[in-house]
Amino acid sequence: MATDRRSPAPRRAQDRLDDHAAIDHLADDLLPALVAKLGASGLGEIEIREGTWRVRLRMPADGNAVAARRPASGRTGSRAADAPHAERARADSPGAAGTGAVPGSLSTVTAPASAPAVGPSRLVATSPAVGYFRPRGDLSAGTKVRAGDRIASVDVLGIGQDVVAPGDGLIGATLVEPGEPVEYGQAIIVLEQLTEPRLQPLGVAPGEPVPPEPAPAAASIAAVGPDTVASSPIEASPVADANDPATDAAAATDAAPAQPTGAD
Amino acid sequence: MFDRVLIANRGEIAVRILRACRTMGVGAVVAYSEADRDSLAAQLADEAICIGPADAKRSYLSPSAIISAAIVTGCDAIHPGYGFLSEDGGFAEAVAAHGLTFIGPSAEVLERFASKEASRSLMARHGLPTIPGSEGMLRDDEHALSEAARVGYPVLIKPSAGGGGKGMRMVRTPRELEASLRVCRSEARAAFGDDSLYLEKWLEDNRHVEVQVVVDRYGRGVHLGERDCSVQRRHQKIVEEAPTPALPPASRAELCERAIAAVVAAGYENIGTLEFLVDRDERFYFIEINCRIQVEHPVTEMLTGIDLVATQIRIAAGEPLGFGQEDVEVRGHAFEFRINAEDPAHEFRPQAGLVERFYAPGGPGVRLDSHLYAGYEVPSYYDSLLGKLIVWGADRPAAIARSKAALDELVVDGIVTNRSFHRALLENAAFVEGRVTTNLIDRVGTAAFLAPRS
Repeated sequence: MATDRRSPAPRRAQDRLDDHAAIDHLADDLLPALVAKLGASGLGEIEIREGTWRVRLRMPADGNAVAARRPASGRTGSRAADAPHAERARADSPGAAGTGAVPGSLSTVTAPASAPAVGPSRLVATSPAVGYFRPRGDLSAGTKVRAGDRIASVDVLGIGQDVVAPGDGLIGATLVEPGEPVEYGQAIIVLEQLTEPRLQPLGVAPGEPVPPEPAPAAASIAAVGPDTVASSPIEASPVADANDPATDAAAATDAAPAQPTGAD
Repeated sequence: MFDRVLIANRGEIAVRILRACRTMGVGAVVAYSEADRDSLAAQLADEAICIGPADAKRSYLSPSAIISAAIVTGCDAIHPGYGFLSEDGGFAEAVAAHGLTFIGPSAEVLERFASKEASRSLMARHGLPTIPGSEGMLRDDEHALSEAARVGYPVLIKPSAGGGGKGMRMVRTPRELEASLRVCRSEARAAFGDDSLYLEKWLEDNRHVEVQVVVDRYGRGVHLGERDCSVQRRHQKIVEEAPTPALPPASRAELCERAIAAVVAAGYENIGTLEFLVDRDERFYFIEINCRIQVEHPVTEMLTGIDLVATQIRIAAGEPLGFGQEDVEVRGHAFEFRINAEDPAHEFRPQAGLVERFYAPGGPGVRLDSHLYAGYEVPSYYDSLLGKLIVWGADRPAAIARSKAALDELVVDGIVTNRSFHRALLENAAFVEGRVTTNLIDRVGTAAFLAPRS
């Protein structure tokens, strides 16, 4: 459970400063480059280490969609750790690929409980309903759209429901194949924003409510709320998922940072 | 049999239906609202699909969202559970129109039993007693007096229009009746613009007894005995048990036999429950039929060993019942305690929040149907049912003894439940002696009802 991960160990101020510096460097410099690299390379996974920190980005199992399709609510950054059984069950089910699958399946970022959630300048348009995805033929990557524009639709029993742009931007990656089933709230189309939002120092992504508690077990990087707009296909969670065989090898060879406190 | 069933419900019943699907080798997809993303059913399901926001109107009550979810996940049937769309004939029809099977009675059967008044007259035609009352509306005072004399005092004056107790009076004598008619007329006229009144016999200290029926598509039906749901607070059932302590075995058998004969004759199908009021003289009156699985169905499962949800799914798939009345054996005594997120110390105010610890009781004859787990956050959007503790014993005292032990074992930390109410109820003389009537707890008040007797 999330609370188990908040083991309060006393830490020196210098530790914290070091952590923040490392995280800033990871988020500002490395992550955007890594995402681009992973997308272009066709590799399954990339890992970068920085001091006591490491970042691992992993493509979803099917390898073609660049998405954490299931939008994470603010407190579910540690969902994979909370409910490994559930995640496996969904990932294993035959229909799961189409109807929203594994949170954080693109990447895993090793981060302390108080890691700042930094947001790349992206928004994600989500599905307004359960149905089949129907793209708009006249829109393609790079098309400029305004907030509220209909940028696709979802076919619900033969009736189209609009997928609207959550903000101004350029059409980016489409995360769902035409005709594929989507669920309510599922991320569908990435919008690249025209202006860089200022990264905020204390882990609050634009458009995301300030968490009432100082420390969720893992902050997501610009978590997607189904009704909110801030988003990224990337989600952070603690790497210590002992049930995930894909992370075992790396974890074993790595001096992962001590479980950090959430007190910052 | 179906390949995959979409479970269009939440909470404990979604888990219960999922378990039935598993035992039958049927795939189970759980349709959930955003508020139920972390629900146990969604976690256990073969696949889970978000159908809408927390607001039930846009999720669990949205026919298009549910049917679309069933189609995109490759389901061939939809189980509606209880509440929500479970008795909605229009929904059942829409499900069928999309080539899917609604697990329940057909739309046509649901429509036939949609109105209480129509159900009562239909069942009366098939031989079930209904609450006696005046023939039609009261024409004048003289007509009222003669009808009241025929029905027998006390009688309840009821307005034809509206509800909510307006224009309603219970009277015990002709003098009271004459005096009240004028008042009731003016109240009814003021409230509903219609002052027509009728009379219904007032049932003093009644008990709520219901009969579980199972009818396949080929007209073969059996009853699975009755349940007593007299322990109520503000018309909400809190504890159910079977057999009913209100009736001797011969009367129970007669009630159940007449109930199954009437529903089969009326063309009912799938599982259902006929509800009756039983008066002090052990006479029973049909009041309504529930065309769905009920919250308290496990009581019957404990007594008969029959999986009601699996039976429901089999019947919907077109299978014949496969057993007859002679195969149904009712053994022992069972209780069901509804564990609600309610604070008995504060007017049973509904609670929501994080379940910090949860331990289910166990042992022989103890069953807990619940969607709780430690770390689960009870959402505030839906009803307060957290689970049902079902306890079986060889007889009523044995079942009570096991119930006390099981309730003592149950731990739900982080959220207030009505467990303490149940525990106190088990020490209450009226309950232990099987004398609780439907209005007793409200009439006495929960605090006084539970206070130890001096």
